[in-house]
Amino acid sequence: MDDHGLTHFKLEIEGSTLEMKKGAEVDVEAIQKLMSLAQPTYLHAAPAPMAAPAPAAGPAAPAAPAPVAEGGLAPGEVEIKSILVGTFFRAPSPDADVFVKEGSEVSEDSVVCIVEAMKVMNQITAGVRGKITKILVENGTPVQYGDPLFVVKLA
Amino acid sequence: MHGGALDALAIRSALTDRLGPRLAGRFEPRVLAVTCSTNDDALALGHGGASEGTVVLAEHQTAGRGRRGDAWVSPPGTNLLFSLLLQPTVGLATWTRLPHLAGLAVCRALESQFPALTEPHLKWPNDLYLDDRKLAGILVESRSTGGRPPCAVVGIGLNVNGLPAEFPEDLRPIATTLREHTGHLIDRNTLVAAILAEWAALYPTGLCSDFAPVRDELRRRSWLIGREIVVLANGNELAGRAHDIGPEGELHLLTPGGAIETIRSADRVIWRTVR
Repeated sequence: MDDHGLTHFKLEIEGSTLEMKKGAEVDVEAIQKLMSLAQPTYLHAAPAPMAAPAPAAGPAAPAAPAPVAEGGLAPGEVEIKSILVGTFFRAPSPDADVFVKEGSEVSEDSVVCIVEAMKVMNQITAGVRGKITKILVENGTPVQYGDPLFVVKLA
Repeated sequence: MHGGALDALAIRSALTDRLGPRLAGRFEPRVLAVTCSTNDDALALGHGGASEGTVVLAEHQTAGRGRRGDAWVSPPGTNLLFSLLLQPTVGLATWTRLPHLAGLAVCRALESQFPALTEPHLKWPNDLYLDDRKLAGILVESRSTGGRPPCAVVGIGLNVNGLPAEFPEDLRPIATTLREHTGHLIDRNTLVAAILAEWAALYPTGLCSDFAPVRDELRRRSWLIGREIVVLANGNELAGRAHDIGPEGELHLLTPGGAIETIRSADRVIWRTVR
């Protein structure tokens, strides 16, 4: 904002608003919400250390909240999340082999599980290249939108 | 093989007769002699950028499957095995309507093609019954990838020109074919065009608008409502009477204790006796 001489910046995407005023506190929550809207990806990387907000002019502004580590992801790890509400299945059928185990190598197009929602079998693909390090959900249990399903160590 | 072969040109021509060239042009039939699974093929095509309306048909499937990996048995050149590729623009939560819409499309097509046929019914979650025996199965699958819009395929297996004697012995009492009911061989190209034409009428509004009219038709066509059933899901059993179809196509089960359970997922629905 300093570079462009702005004092007020307002962005609206899909009903969410981000408003920045010079000298005011940075609304980290709004920024994160907007970032999630602007990037419709189903993967959430371990949060990178956030740059400290530039010292605000005028009276001391409260510091932005420290980023909370998500599920204790190590650097280079990402989560594969559920993109819908349904039932999590690790194999195509009850007596078939599982799609992936801990240690399985996956590529972007590897199917890692099925989330079934009322007769629709949704094959979830890894979306990244790497190795499955954790399976976070029991076979046959319900999952919600955004629930982490797997942890992948990126190749 | 019983009856004529599947033929993309004949399907296209029958579609044009029903829908006119503009709407018919939204479907692109592709006929394969043999494949593992038309659903897999359609998903792969969708992944590779094929457009909505691509229809993969096969004379023979070597690894056809039903829900949760059940095998789908079909002698070569006899039945309809096809998968329709979709790229719905609505949120994934509404995709659960797809199997219901597909079931209705098949019911309506059968009624328009064979007016003398006994009324087809839908057995929740994914079967079509004729005279209390299974005539067709529907399997909807989607593939979702990080960042890219997911696509869905509606897979339909419909017993057309086979004879009951050709089924494996254990299926004979519970499965049927159209030929058994009509007494003659059926042109599969015309039939699949009729199903796709019904789909074209149902899909846009059924997926994006009020589901109430669809729900009413699902109730009317329900084979389960009123029957005593056992629902098997993830190793659990739930017994009761099929009570209703819910606002988004769920099954409402009336338990012996008088509670209404909403069933959204089931490995098997077993019915006992007609009361």
